[in-house]
Amino acid sequence: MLEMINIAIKTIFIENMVFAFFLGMCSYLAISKNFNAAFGLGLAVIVVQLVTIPLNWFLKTYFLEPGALSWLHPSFASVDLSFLTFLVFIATIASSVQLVEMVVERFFPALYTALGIFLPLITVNCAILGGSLFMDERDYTFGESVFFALGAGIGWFLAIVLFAAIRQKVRYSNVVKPLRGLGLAFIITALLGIAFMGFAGIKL
Amino acid sequence: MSDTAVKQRKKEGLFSRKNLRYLLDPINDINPITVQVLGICSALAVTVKLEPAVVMSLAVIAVTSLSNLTISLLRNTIPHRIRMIVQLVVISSLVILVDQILKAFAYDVSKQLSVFVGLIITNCIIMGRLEAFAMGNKPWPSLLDGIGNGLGYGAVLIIVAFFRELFGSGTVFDIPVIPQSFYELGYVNNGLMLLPPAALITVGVIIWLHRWLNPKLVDVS
Amino acid sequence: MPNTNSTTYTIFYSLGMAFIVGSALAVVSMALKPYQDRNVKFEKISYIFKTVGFTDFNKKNADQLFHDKVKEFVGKHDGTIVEEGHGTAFNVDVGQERKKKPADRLLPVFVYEDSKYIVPCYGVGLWGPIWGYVALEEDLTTIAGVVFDHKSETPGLGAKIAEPEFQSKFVGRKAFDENGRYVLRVVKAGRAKSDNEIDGVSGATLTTNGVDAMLREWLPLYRPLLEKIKQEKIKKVQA
Repeated sequence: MLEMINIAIKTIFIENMVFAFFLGMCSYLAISKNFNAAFGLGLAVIVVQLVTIPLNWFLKTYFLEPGALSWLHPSFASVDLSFLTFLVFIATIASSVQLVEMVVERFFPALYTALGIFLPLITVNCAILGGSLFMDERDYTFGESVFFALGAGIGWFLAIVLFAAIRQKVRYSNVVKPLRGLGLAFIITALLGIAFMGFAGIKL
Repeated sequence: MSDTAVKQRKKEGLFSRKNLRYLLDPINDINPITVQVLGICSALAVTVKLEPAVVMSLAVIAVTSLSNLTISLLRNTIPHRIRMIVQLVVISSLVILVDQILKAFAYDVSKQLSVFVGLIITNCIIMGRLEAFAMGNKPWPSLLDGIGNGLGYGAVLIIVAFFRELFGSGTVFDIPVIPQSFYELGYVNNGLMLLPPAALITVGVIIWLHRWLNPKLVDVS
Repeated sequence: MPNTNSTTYTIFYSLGMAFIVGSALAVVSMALKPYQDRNVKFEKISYIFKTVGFTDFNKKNADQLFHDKVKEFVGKHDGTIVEEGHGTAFNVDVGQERKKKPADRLLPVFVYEDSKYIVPCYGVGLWGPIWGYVALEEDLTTIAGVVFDHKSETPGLGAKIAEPEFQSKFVGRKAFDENGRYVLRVVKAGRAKSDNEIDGVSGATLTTNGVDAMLREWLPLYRPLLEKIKQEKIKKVQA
């Protein structure tokens, strides 16, 4: 159990999706101009990570891995469908995002209006596909992949919320013109990344 | 494809000024990374050394141009409701192809790129160009637009990788370029350049210079 | 042009696309599979040859040379030999074995030209898995050579464990003392004091610790098995 929590903590702080792997940068830069929107998108990412990573774990373990199909019939033991990994993962992500959207709309209308347009955007958020690909590459067990999903989601949430808050302050600073906006955004992210590197010394 | 291309040649040259703009604009004025802020995710993690950056650029150029071409050819047949899925399927099939080819013929590089090849799928440049250009344009301009955006992306990647490798490891394409005498005088490679944040700083500075040279891009917000 | 928004059209379109894409990818992946497998196999052979300093091979003759020069054994921690012969140890994945309890792991051993014992190990660095091959001399104590590699350590820092500069520091060191106790330490760069301490990579303490932990986990595990294999060999020579 402790090991699983360690995975979550490690993914939030040390191997943060944004600061260590630059995943999900597009929406991170685009949505962080507004703090509330950033908060909503961050929450949505947590939910979608928690849905897609475990789901993809099932698909990987029971359909895609070499020999994964042997539960159907022993003669399928030599089948290796791993070349379809990308396609299956992205299809799962696209459909779960739709599904999450429908569920949220039906049962949590308030949250739905808050997230609204950000949900469909998540399909092309690299952090989501990246999460599933890391899960595949690192060979997590089911439990580990759930905690990894949690960590990846929270880490991304934390990153965008921190960044949006800083960006709101920076709006009032006098910055050289060509650096305004995007250029400075990159440099702030870099500084946040350097700050997060301080966590690398944590012994887990 | 040749059919459409020939038809177009009658109307305007294959490399008419308008078509060339599709190819060249994304490299400067509407550069996908520094101006449109697309496709940064996969860009930065592979820029520690030049070699993976070059391979990654080639892979992205292949995927953007071929997916633009394919979607443009199919554009009138795609059911509107599932168009995102169709685009994703086309992109991911192309990415799988690239990944398989790298694994078969450039194994060392494919190891270095690891999951980042897969992340080409969610590279927003590709989806963005399909949606904004290929869905409404003929195959030949779409192909050029794809190559152009791939090149624009690759150019930034390679510039970033060049500086990171030069200052971080003192090499270019793994060949040492900083003379030994510098090290003897006390020069030290900058370890920070090898770490993830350095990529962001380098891109930030590139954007700064780019906007300084090209003031119409300055962001007023 | 059929109505592209009708449900029937949408369904047939997606089915058709799934079928075409699926079969095209299957064909490509099957066609490229042999090349990919050969790359993986060649890499593993290169690791093993490099530990003993043998470099005179290429993609074409590696398989044959490996077959001629290397004997393979698979055993357990208690010294029992489970399997031997070509293609046994080679196909054991220590990454998978690491998930089992130490006593249950299948341990692959490669014997190069009947004189050097090469054992694979697998661990975790800062970002992801690291692995390596350690060649021990006939005395089962002195290190003849090592090769390390990694999935995603920081290039220029942790990734240096894969470079000869770091790996050459291991050559000639003693991994065990006279009583067979494991004594090798990989320590923070610049802290090595005695003969059995090796300087790690500077700026990459966590990767260095990963290498230390990996060797400490695996080398003592192999020791009884190696002794057994050596005895068997001596018996065969005497017979």
